[in-house]
Amino acid sequence: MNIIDFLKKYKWILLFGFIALLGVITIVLYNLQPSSPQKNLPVEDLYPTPFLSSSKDLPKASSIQKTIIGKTTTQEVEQLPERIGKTENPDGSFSYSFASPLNARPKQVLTKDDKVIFESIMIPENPTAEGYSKIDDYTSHYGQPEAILKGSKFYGWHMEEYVYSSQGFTLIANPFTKEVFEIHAYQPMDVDSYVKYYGEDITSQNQPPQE
Amino acid sequence: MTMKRIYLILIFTLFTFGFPFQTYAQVSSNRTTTRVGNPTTQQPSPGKVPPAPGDIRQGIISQFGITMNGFDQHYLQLAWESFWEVSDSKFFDLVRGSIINKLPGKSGSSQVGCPGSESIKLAQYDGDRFFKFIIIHELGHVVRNCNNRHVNQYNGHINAFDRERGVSYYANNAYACLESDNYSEDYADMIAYFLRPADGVATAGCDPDSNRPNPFFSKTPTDFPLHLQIAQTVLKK
Repeated sequence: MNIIDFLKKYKWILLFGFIALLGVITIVLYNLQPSSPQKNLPVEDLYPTPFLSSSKDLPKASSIQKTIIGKTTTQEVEQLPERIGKTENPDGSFSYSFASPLNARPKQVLTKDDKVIFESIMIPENPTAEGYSKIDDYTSHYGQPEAILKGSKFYGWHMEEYVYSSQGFTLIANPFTKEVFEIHAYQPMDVDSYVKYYGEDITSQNQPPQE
Repeated sequence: MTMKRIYLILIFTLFTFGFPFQTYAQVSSNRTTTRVGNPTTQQPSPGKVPPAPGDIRQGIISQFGITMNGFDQHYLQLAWESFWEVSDSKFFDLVRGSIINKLPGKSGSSQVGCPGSESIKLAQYDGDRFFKFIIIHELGHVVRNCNNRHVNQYNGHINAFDRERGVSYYANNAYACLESDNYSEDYADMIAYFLRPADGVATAGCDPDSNRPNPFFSKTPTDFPLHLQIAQTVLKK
């Protein structure tokens, strides 16, 4: 049988085979394509920090909070003790890091337009230390949070973020022991904005891993 | 077109499209192996295990405060032995009230909650030594996630990990292994290796070396002095 006869005889098989091969190649190429989620985004979206919306003084979310959101100046932040780092962000804001009980997770202060817009507060683990707190300390005063987001990249799947974004703070806490591990203080905003600007620790990995 | 041709086309298409899905389905399989270490010291001392009572499940509840639901007699016996072997410690002060429910099948375990409710899901693994180790590992997660931080030395452990790295391969590769996190798995392994000094069992089957010794007691001094100090603070009576 010559090639022409072969092609004529098996034309349907070859046609379907070719289509199937194209399908497989398409699937493989689709899966190999690298994800590029931040193409041509403006600098503000790559390093998002909100603008100060109010000059009103906000009460401190914890007695060990170092700054007052919207009031403490960049110069005052520069003079705070235990500073271990400073970075200028592309949008003109500054990130400061300070020593913390966890070496891998320094305290953070963010300034923009010469004012503090964000502070992370590390809550001590010793119950007798100043600043130690539990979730109930906040729910009894502020009521239920506006949102509870499950899962923390740093602390693990079992942790929860209790978002009081209209009050300008979020608790990262263990729902089993009720202990607060960390507080984020920021200018009041809605929950979605909090997640957008300061939600880097939130994770979809919020179920226990099976070993 | 004849039936024969249609049949050939169907077979060819199924083979071509079916191949990738067949490969995908074969990804997960048994991932646990039992490994025995070579300890040179024994601390804390395991002591002598008393005979199990006739109703082992109730005996475990009465003696250790742990409720095990759905397990066969053989696995209840293993739990009884494992719990006695680690009982010369503060361990049961930290996990009492835990409820362990059996998972179907021969592998799989996870800590899902805290004492007072379902705390752990655990399969009846093949390998007695592995089962006796993994049940302590999972309860190690309970120690970390269900107790206050000054009790379980939470911050001290994270700082120890950042200084010394994890005590096991799994503790250093937890996400790649089973999509878990290193701090959490390192803590549970730290508890299990400290309480079971004769074991070098690997928690996850992703560890390429099947013959690792116990990280604390196989050589003196240990490569993990900060971890050992944390474990002693948390567990030693």
